[in-house]
Amino acid sequence: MVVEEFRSFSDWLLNDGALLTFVFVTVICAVSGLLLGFVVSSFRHGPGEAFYAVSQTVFQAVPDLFGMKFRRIWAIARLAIKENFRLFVVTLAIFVAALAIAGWFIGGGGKNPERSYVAFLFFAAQVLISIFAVLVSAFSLPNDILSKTIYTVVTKPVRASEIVLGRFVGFAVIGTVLLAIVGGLSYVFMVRGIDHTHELSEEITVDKWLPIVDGFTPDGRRPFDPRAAFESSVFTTRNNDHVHRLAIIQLPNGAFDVVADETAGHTHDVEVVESDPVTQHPKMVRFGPPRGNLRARQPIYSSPRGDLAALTLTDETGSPATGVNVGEVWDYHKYIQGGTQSTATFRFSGLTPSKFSNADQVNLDLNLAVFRTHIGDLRRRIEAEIELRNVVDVAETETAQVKSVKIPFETEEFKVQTLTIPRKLKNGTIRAVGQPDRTNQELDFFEDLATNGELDLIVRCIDQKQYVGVARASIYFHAGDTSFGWNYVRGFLGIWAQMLAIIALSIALSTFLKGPVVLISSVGVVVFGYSANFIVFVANSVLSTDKLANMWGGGPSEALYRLVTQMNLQHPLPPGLGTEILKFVDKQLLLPGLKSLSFAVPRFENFNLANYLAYGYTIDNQLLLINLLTAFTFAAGMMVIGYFCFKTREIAAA
Amino acid sequence: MVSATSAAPAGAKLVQTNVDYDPNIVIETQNLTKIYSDFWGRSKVRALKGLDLEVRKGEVFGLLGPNGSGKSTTIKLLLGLLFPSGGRATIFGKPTTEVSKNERIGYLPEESYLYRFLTAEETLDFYGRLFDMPSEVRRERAAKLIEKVGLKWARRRPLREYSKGMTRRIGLAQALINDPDLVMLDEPTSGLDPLGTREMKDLIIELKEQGKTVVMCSHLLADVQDVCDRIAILYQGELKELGRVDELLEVTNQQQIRVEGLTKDAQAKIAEILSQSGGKMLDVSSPKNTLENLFLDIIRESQARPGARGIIGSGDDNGTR
Repeated sequence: MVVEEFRSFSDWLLNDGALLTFVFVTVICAVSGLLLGFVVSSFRHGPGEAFYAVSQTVFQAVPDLFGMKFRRIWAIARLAIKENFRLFVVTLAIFVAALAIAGWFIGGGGKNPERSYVAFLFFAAQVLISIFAVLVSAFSLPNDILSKTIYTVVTKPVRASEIVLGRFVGFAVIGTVLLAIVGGLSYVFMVRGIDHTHELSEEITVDKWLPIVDGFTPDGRRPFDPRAAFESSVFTTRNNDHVHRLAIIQLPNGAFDVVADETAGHTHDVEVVESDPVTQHPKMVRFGPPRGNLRARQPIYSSPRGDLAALTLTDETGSPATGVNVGEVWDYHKYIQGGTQSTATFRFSGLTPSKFSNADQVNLDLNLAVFRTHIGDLRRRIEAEIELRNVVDVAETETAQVKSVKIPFETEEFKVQTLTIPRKLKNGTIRAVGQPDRTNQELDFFEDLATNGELDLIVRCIDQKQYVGVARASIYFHAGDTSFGWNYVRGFLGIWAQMLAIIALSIALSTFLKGPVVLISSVGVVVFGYSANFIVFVANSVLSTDKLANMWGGGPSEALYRLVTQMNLQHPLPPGLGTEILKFVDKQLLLPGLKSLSFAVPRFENFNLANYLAYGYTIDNQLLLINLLTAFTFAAGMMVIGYFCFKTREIAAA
Repeated sequence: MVSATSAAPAGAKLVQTNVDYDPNIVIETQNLTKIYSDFWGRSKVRALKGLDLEVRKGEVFGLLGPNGSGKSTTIKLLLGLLFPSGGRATIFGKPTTEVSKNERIGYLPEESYLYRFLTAEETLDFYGRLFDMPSEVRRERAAKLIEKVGLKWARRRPLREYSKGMTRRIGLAQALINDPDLVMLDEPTSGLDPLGTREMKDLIIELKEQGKTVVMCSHLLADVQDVCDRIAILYQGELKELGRVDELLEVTNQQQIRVEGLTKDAQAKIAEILSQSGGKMLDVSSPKNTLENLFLDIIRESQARPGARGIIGSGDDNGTR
C-alpha cells in the first residue's frame, strides 16, 4: 500500500497551508535579508549610507531582472556544462559500475522482483544525482572566484542575476541529461533483468493431471484458477529463481487450455502448440514473456462528497463509528466487525464508461487487511461482501434508490485481489418512494448505479468474530493500466525535482561561501529536509500538552544527554537545574526553531515516488504537480537569495 | 603640475550624487578611498587614500607605482570588482557599480584569468556572448582578433596548453572582443617576451590612434614612458605625481646637442663657445640605442636573413649599429 495521503493540488495549496507557508517564509526571508543587509552596511558606512545602499540594491533588482538576456544566460549555462563534462562522465561510469555489481545480487527471483529493482535503481539514481548536483554547483562559483576567472566575466555587461541563473540552467541541463541517461539505463537493466520465459519440465501426460474435487486439489489447496478442472503435477522449468504451477481448463469446444499461476508477482501467457489429435490433450506449450509485474494501475479512489467523507464506517449497531481498534498496530486500517451491521462505505465519483474504455465489465481492486480473533477453518479465507448503491439526491424525492445484489468474496491479504463486476448486473433492487420494491432487476453499472459517475460501495465482513480492515486506498476501481515506461519517467521526475532544488540551494550558498563549506552546508540542508517530517513529528510530540502524546526520550538535547549517559528512554531525568535547562533548551529553543526551519526547506522525502512504481500504481498528476511546484518555488527562492548575495559581494576582496 | 592629494579624511563617506556627464571625461574619481577590513570590519590596510583623477577621452593614461602602491586596487574599484570605502568614481558618467558601463570597456587583468578548458575560439565566443553579440559578429571578430594576436595556429587548442605569453595574447583578444571605447590594462606586458612587449605597445598606440582611451597600470617605467600620454604615480595608496609624460620627463635646465660627423677641433670650438656663454659642456658622446631596440633589430635582422650574423668588432661590422 503506497497511498496514505490523498491531496489534490488545490487542497495542498489552499487547505493544507502551502500557499500560506510560502507567503510567510517569503516575508520572513525578505525582512531578515533587509535587516541583515542594513546591519552589515551600517558597520561599513553608517546608518544613513546603509539605508541608501540597501534601497539601491533592492531597486537595482528590477532592471537586473528585466534586463536579463537569454544569450548571456545561455553562455554561462554552456560554460557550466563544459566545465562539468568530466564529472558527468565519471558519474555515469560509477552508475554503470553500480549496475554491473548490482546485477550479481539482484535477480528476477523473489516474491516481487520488480520491487527490489525499483527500490535499488531509484535509490542509486537519487543518491548519485544528488551528489552530482551538489558537487557541480557547490564548487563552480567559489572556484571561479578563487582562480579569479570571474574577473573577466563580471567586468562584462553581465548581471548578477544572469550569472546565478545561467549557472542554474547549465547545471540543470547537464543534470537532466545525466538523469535521462541514468533513467534509460536503469529501465533497460530492470526490464532485461525481469524478462524471462519458461519451458515445461516434462510432458504433461494425463496421469499428471490432478483433479479438483469440491474446490480443492488433492493436496488440500485452493486451485489458483477457479475455472480449472485439473492442476498439473508438472511445473515449469526453474528460471529467475522460480517455477510456475500449471492448471488445465477445459473449454466449451472440448479443447484444453493451460494457464500458469502467479508467482514472483507475474504470470505468463501459455499457448498450446501441440495437442493430441484424438483427445485434444495438450502435449506441447509455449510460454510468453512475464505479465503483470511491470504495471501502472490507474486507480479511481473514493473521494469526499459534500460534507461526507470519502470513507465512513458504522459499528455493529449500524451507528456511525471510527472503526475498531484491534491493538497497537499501524493505525492505517480501520476495522469492521464481521457478522454484524458494521459496514464501510466508500464514496466514488467520476466513474464514467469512457474511463473504462466502454468495457463490458469493471474491475474493482481490493487490498484489505484481516484480523482474526479465532483460527476458524484454515483452508478458508475470511469472507466479506460488497454492495453497490446509486447516490440518491435528497433534494429530488423522486430519485429511486438502486442497489445491486450483494457480491460475496473471500479476502486475500497482502496482495491486490481483483473483483470483476459485469456492467449488466442481475438481481438488483430498485426502491422508489411510494412504490413497492422492484427486485431481480437487471442493472446497468453506469446508467443505473453510477449515475452521474457517483456511486456508494458498502463493504461488510460476513464471518462472525472476524474483522476486515479498510482504508481509503483499500478499494478502488481499476480504470485500466497506463504505460509502465511512462510511469517510470514520472517517477524520475521526482528525482529531477529534487535535483533542481539541490542545485539551486548549492548555487545560492556558493555566492557567499567557499566550496567545501557549501558542500557541507548543502548536505546538511538536504539531510534536514529529509528529516523534516520526523522533526515536525518529534516537535509536535514533545511540545504537546497531552502527556499521552509525548514521545519517550524528549527533544534533541535531552536525547543527547541520555545517549551520553546511557540512560533508558523511559527513566525520568533527575530533578534539578540541569534537567530544567535541558527541557528549556528543547521546548523553548531547539524544537520550535527546528520546526519553524523545517517549513523553509522542501520535504525531500516526498520527492521519492519509487513506491508507486514498485507497487504498480500510476503516479498521480496532482502529486507530481505538488512536487514540481515545491521544487520550482524553492529553486526560485534560492535564486533570489543567490542574486542578492552575489550582487552585494566584493568579488576582488575574496 | 603636481596635484597630489593628502590622505583621505577619516570616515570618508560614499557620495552617490550624480554629476553632469562630460563626454570628454571618461573616468573621474573624487576622493576615492579603499580600506581593506577584516571579518569583523576592523581596518587592516588603507590601499587607496583619497584619489582624485580624471582620464580624458582618447588618451593613454598610465598608473605607475611600485608593488602595493594601489594601482590594481584603483582599476578594480573602477571596474566594480571592489566597492569603495569612500569617495566616488564614475566611468562614462555612470557609477562603477552600474553594469551597463561594461558594454564600452575592455579589461585585461594582471594575469589572464581565463577558462583553461576552452579553446581560443571558444573563449572569444563565450565573451562575445556576454556582450550579447550575434553569432556572425562573434565569429568575425573572434577570427580577426585571433589573427591580430597571432594565435591562428593555436586557435583550437585548449588554453591549458598555452604558454604564459600566448595566454596574455588571448587575454588581450578577449578584452577587445567588444571593440571597447575604454581599454583597461593591468600590467599588460607582464609575462611577455620583448617581441610581445613591443607588439603590445604598438597595439596600445594603435588603439589610441583609433580614438580609444587606454588606462594601463605598470611598474615597468619603460613601457609607460613609451606609450602613455599622461601618468599618475602612486605610492602607498597616495597620488604622488600626475601629468603629461613629456612634461614630466623634460629636464628644463639642461640642453642636449646631437650632431653627426663632428671633428675633434669642431668639438673644442663648441666647448669654447659654450664656455664664453657661461655654460659648461658636460659630455659629448655618441647617442645610445636602447637595449630593447637593439634586441628587436637583431631579431628582425635574423628573421630577414637566417644564419650566422656578424659580431660587433668583426670585419662584418659596418658601423651602422
